[in-house]
Amino acid sequence: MRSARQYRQEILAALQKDLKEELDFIDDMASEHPKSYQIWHHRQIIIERLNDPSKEISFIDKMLALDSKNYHAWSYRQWVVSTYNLWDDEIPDIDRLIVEDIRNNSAWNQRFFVMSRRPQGFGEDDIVKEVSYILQKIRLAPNNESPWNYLRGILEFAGKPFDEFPQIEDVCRSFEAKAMIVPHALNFLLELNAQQVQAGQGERVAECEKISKQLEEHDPVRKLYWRHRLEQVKAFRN
Amino acid sequence: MSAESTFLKELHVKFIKQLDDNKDELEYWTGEHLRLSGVYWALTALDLMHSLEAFQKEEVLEFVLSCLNDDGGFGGFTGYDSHLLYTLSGVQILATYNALDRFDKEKIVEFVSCLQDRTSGAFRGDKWGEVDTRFSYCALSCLSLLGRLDAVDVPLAVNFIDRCKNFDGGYGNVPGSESHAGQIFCCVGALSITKSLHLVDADQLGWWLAERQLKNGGLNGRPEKLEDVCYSWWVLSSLAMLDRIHWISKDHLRKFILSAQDEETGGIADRAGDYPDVFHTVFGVAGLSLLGDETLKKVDPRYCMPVYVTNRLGLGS
Repeated sequence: MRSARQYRQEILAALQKDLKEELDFIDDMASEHPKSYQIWHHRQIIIERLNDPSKEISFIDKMLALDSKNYHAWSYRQWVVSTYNLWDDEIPDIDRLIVEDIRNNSAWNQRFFVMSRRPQGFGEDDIVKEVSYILQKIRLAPNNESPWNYLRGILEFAGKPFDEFPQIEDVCRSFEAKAMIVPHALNFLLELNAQQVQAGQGERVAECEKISKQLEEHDPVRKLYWRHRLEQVKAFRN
Repeated sequence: MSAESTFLKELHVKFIKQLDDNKDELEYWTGEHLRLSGVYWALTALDLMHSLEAFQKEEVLEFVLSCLNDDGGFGGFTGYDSHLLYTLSGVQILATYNALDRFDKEKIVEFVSCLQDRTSGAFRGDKWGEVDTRFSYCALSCLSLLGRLDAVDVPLAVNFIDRCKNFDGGYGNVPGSESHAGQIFCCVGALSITKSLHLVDADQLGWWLAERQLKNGGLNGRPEKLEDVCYSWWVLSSLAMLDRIHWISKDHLRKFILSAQDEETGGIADRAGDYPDVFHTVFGVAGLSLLGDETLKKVDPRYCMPVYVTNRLGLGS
């Protein structure tokens, strides 16, 4: 396979073969062997030679329809988007994929990729919109890990403390009111209070103790992590 | 006792030995193109189970030699082109058999070092392939086993891996790519081998890795994916290198690995009820070793090789 692929590149170059036909060939190959990373790299070289990415996003979408978490498809998509400056249409596409499968961590990662790298930057309006978007998704599936990780990541990227937006804490507390145990929400509250302790509000340690006890009880496989985190928080106070 | 609670060592040794005895069968191991890696997986599993002698050393070395190409790299099988994945497997086998001196080490070093991109620090898997942190790991692991990390630009290699660090503390194959436990093993392993673990956010990544443990005790490789015995290795070894293995439930994971054993044929599958193979067998066995199973030899989390081998090479942590 590997040698044949190199051979194929050499023949294509030598014959000046129609590279667009070659793309059709790859379409077929990729549908049959979606996890072969060599096919994706082969395609990248052809697109570089053609310098025409116009069909790439629809091709990748077709592949993601077969497996929405195909690692090579997402890597290739990042290359296409950043190389050919296709940032503008990316967010609506990601929204569609997240609506189709809210638990698609690859789509959430792509959202971070776009927000953190697109040329127009990431301003005050953007973080407000993102927080509202994330909270809406968290309400739909509170135990879905991806938006929680994304929330922490994007707040840190924007340089915002976790208590900057009170609506986040409201959503975290709302589960308790409904007698729902959501470890990710408790973890966010723990981190929010830990930041406050670190910022000098030593009295928040009591809240951290309360939350970490709840986590130990409801997430016992990771109890040593929760204990470790609490010890760290206590050390901030000292 | 059922397989749920007992480690079926004799059966696993037999399973691996039979794979070797049935070389002519159509579906021998996992396919011809990665046979050399298959040999490394089998040999490592046997060695950890105190059964290295189940393979004929000279026969194995003869096969390894037949995969070594003139460019100094190893192919996945006799006559196949060289690739970093198989070059690492070849060197690992030679190191296990204490036979590195029988080969032209410098030639291998040359093959590996030529694959570094001297601008980005990344490595290609072969001379026309793409870059990937998996290949950074293969190159750095291989060179350190050969005692020749000085042959490449280590700070630049480390810098590329650092650029692959994500907002969740994990690592992907290239900068910006999604965190994935297999890639994380490669990155944390490479950073550990190059004494650069200070670049890892150990608490954040340790927590992300601990979150990989599911209610059934198994580990997945990314959020919302299925558990799989091979992640017992990728996740657990990363936690071990970060000194945070106690952040997950060892008992639950041990039970999960044992439940994936095939009680009839031997061998370990990706999860209970599936067919066993040598890939999941070695990573299941290595995982049990990291979990502290004293009937097994200790495994080195950086190299997925027995600790006595890496100690013999002066690579003790």
